[in-house]
Amino acid sequence: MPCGGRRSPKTIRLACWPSTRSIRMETLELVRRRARARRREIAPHSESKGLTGWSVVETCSRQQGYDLFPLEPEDSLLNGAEAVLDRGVEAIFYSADATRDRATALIAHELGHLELHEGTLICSFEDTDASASDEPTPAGAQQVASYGVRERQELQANVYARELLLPRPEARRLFLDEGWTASNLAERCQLPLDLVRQQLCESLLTPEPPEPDGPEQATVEPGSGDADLSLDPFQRAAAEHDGSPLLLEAGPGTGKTRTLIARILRLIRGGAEPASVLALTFSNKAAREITDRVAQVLPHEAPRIWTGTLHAFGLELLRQHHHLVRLDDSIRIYDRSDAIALLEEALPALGLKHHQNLYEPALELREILAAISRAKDELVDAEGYLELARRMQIDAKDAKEREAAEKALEVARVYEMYQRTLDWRKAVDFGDLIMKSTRMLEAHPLVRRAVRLRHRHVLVDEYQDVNRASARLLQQIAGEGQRLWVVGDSRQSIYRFRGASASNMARFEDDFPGAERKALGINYRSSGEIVEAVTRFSRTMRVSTQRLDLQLQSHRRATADPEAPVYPPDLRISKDRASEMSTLAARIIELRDQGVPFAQQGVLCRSNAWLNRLSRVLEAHGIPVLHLGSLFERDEVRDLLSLLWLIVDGRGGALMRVAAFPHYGIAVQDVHTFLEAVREGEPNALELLGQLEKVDGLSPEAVVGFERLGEELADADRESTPWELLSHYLFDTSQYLRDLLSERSPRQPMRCIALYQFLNFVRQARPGGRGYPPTRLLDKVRRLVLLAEERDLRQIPATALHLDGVKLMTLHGSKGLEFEAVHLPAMTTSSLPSNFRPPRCPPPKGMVTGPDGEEAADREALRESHHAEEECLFFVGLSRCKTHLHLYRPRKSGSVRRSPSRFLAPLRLATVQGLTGTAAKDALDSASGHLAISIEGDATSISGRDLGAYARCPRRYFYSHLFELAGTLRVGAFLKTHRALYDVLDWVKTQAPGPFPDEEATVAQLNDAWRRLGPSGHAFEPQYRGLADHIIANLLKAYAGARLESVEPLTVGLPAGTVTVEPDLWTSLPEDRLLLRILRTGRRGSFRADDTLYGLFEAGARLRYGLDGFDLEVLHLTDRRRTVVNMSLQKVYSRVDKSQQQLADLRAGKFPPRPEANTCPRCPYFFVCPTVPAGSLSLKSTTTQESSKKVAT
Amino acid sequence: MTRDTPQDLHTAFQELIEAGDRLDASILEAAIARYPQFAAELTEFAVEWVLQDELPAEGDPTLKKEENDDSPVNDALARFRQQLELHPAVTGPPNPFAERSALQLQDLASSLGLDKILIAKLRDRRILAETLPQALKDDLASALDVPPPVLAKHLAAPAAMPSGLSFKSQVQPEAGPKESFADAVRRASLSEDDKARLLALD
Repeated sequence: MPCGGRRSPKTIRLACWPSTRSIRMETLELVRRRARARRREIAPHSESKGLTGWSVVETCSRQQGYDLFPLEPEDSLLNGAEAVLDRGVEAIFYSADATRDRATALIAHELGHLELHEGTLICSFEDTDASASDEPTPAGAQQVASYGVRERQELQANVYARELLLPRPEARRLFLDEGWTASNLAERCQLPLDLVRQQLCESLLTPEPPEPDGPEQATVEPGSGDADLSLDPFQRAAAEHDGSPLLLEAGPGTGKTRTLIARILRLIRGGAEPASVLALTFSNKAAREITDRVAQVLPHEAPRIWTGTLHAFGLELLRQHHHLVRLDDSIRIYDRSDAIALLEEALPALGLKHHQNLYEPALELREILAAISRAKDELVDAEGYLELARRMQIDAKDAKEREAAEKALEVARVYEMYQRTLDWRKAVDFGDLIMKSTRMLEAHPLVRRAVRLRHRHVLVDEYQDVNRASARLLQQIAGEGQRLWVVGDSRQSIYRFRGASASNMARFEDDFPGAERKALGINYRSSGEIVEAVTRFSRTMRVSTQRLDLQLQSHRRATADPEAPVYPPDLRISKDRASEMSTLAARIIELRDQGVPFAQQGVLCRSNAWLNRLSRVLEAHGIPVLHLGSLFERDEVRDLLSLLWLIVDGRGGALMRVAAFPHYGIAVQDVHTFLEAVREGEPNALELLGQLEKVDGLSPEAVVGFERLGEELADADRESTPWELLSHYLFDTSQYLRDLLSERSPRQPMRCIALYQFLNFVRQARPGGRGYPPTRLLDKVRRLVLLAEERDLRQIPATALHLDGVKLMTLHGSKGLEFEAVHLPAMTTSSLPSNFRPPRCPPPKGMVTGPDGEEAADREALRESHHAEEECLFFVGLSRCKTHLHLYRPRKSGSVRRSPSRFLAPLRLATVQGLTGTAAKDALDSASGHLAISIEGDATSISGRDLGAYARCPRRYFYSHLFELAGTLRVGAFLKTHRALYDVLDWVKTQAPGPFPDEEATVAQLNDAWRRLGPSGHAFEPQYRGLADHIIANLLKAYAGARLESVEPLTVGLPAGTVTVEPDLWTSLPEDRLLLRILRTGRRGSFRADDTLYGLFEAGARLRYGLDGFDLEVLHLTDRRRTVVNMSLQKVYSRVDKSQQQLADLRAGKFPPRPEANTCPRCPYFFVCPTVPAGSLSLKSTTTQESSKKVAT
Repeated sequence: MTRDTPQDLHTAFQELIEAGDRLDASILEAAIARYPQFAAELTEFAVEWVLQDELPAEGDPTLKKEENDDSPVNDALARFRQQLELHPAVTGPPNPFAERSALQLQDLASSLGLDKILIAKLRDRRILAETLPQALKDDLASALDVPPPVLAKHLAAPAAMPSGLSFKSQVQPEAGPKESFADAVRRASLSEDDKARLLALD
């Protein structure tokens, strides 16, 4: 029971912490070994194969003197449960209603408790799912899971059960060596199918753990944990502090966690009731570490300590007192992507002016939700936000300030609607977990008092990550803070984007009057040289202003052998980025040869994009890397996403990737032939797989491949969950996993880990929305990527951390870790510090104030805050290093010279000349995207729009324009509106030559188009229709009294072919001049008519009409703003040259993918890209007009 | 004699209640220092005591108020009793089964012709005392070496969930209503002959 409060009968029972006498905390691997040892006692290895689960649990129970009793479900001994382990009479009672395989799993779970734990445990259904994953997915609402000892115990019992029933080595052997499938295994061993699939997932996709140091049954005895070791004087003074709130400033490597744990141990040994200790963290990982380390020393008491994140604690408070905050006790948590799904369709109803992006509402909503989240960090609700925005409006002195106020008012409107929707759904978002619980405690003094009575000793780890809302919550929990103990390092404050700021550390004495500060002064991690570098840099940090200098003594230097070699940090300068990567790879190998294993080396970088490239280079050098990168952009993950897409979309676009799976091996030409048959009206793709005789022209190999695919997907039901579909495919029907597991390459282990991570995500994701379950998952994935909410899925699962590979991670991700060698590449001005980009929705004035009450959210303050955070990030990176610190920088990037990062100067590093080499360049260039395509007939003419599409992304152009591949995107309300509008514009063009149509005829045309193409029946149809009416009205105004001319398209002849461009409308001007207009339906915004397409317009018009014969402009119909196209001759030449190059590349078959963060997740081919099956492709030519039509549709 | 008795707990509660609005973490810590064996119960009680005004105005029909006593202590205790039922050692009469090992309970079952199911139900007071054959009660008291009134008091107390259990459930476990001896025998794992013999007892 984590917190005070009235408990409903339900929560009373849930709250029963184990009244345990002892718990022996084991790592999961030790738990598995215990289970395997127990199983070996039942049956030697040779007899183990095919042993039924029931015989295992029956024998295991008997050996331990326990009897099994099936009871009627309503029998009083079951207490409403499905199974009960009764130690008093040595019996396991279970419901006679449970199927045999379910009963087997239930009993095995209880046997796990019997062997691993002691005392009373009351488990919920979720606790006892023996098919649940070893690791919760680190994304979405699952992040707010509690990591208390109780949850760990249930997880251990589940892992034990699975291992007892189907040991991992045996599952792996039976699947790989004997060809058993999950269904075979479940049937023969009489086990739940889901349990078998999960065990296969764990055993096949995660690496074998290293051998433990001690014997299998070894447990950590009380007193042997490291937290029981002696403390230095600084640590001891902090751990033993009493009588006032304490803020402990703990520099890197000074034993922060050890001191915190020592504090907990001292409290409990001093008589504090364990349940009165509340240890709050900012990450699940930190919570787990505290839980495990305390349990190693005080196994009896540890289960009763509440350890978890502040958000998880907030959730517990809200659950406990849900009746006070108008929530149910089963609170649903919305992550950012859920919130977007909630809002995007409703956005038009708000009639936003500044924050309207109807084409991709998610992009605008991402910014608005970030602003709302930031407001919640400051405990500002929708009403408060509106008030601040109104104040801005009243105080506005000029147009700029008025616009800022209008934007803030729009955010306030969205905030109000969003919160109302959340409340109506009895749901909360992450920000609410802190804000609502803080406000509840502020509004209910009795609850607050009860919470303080229950949690009498409050400890907070990483206090520098506290934001204002968290600080206020802590005030409510800890009161005057007589027993509050917090530890942090203001120089490691790297979460400013969520409101965390070193200023909250500065305010500690204000928040808790009478507080004291102490500091830890001895660094145990790093060599003297590293400590010196870290200290030198710290003196230049903004956060060090008005603070005492960082004073760290290096314990290693003080205790080192004077003759031992020293390794001063250095800077390696290379010619360019490719050389820099080669230099880095060479140094990693050198260090490995000198005895620093790959696993003890970390490459830390500011951005993920750089890491993705480096990962390829290192692998090309034969260096194993631990780096997942963006999970949903990995090949193996996209394979499975494409498979789901194929199951739900009969048009078969997903075959572009699925057909290329090695065990199908279908050539690209055959895929084209097959999809042409689908397009020509044959049954949908999945059905056609079973009727291949209807498809003419397939190669014999393709027939075999397609038949195999059809068989493997024969019983795929799109109503099934993605987990069900994918686990069935991987573990039952297909060859996919066997192929992957037999692959021999440095990349293979990470490919398996990526699948493991993905399958965990799939299993736990519960995306809402419309459509089949796989469709909802695909939509969710797109949203996660678009919003960059999938970053947490890049974390390497704990089960793979022991792999011998260089760890590639961002500076953010490296916090809390340490490496023997740290490599910090890309130390240039453009990389670190990163450029400041002000938020699109800055906080309203007055929302964020500094420690002295000054405005802290104006542009300059935000910029300062950004730079301070960048310094902290670099400080974190430097201080991860134990011994070998190497920084790298290229002199130039591409053709641009790059200056050194200003962070380098204070370090006064020795410089080393980097290598030159082509290996890295070759690795980076390997994905040139060259395809062997021949186009029959005249392929030399192309429209300017098509060429523009090619320029934006050649691979997408190949899919859409050449291959005519069906995409995934749903046609939303905005796109339907857009189509209706373009239908009207097409009709207007047909009226030339002649007067511009009058209003009555145009509106009638819109009505007709709307019926055929518009978003009829949509919840916000009137709003979309209003938008269409507005655009048509602007069109009529722009062309009032004008006469339309009929003119041929403009052409520009180039060596590589002819490009044609066609303005939308042509009207006459005085003196025989023509007005050529290109129409856009949106707002002008920051649009500039400067790109290649407009260069082609300009060139074509000049060629036909001469310099003075025309005016060319772009008209944005939403705001009726015109942009004159008027390029210099030099610019026109440059654009034409560029077009020539693009056309030549296109004709040469160059179709490289051009990834872009905001575009790719919205691309119709997101899941198949960049795959193209092997082989050459022959296509018939398409004319310019046809291509243009394709673009329009 | 230790202080581990219901009366001591009652006294400790009284101390907390007398602190009234002053009841805070320091006072609670001091009480726990005096009664460390009741640390969890005192914390729960303090929390419930403070929160009683947050409870619904209408009386909760499930609350079991102390008879003829409207004192604040007993009012609070009544509210708290439901939780304390999870700690029968604290609130209930002495459980004559409590100190016996699994082996001893096994022997007990064998000597009385019972099985583990019936022994567990007798231990947890799941069988309506008035439906138990007197002969069985006598034999049980004798085998447990306790006076019959002590056993009778135990059997008559409300059903409780014993310590030392691990549950696996889709719904929250709870101590359900008591059942008749005949039903308990019917649900036992004994042979039909053994069941018949038990049902034939007077």
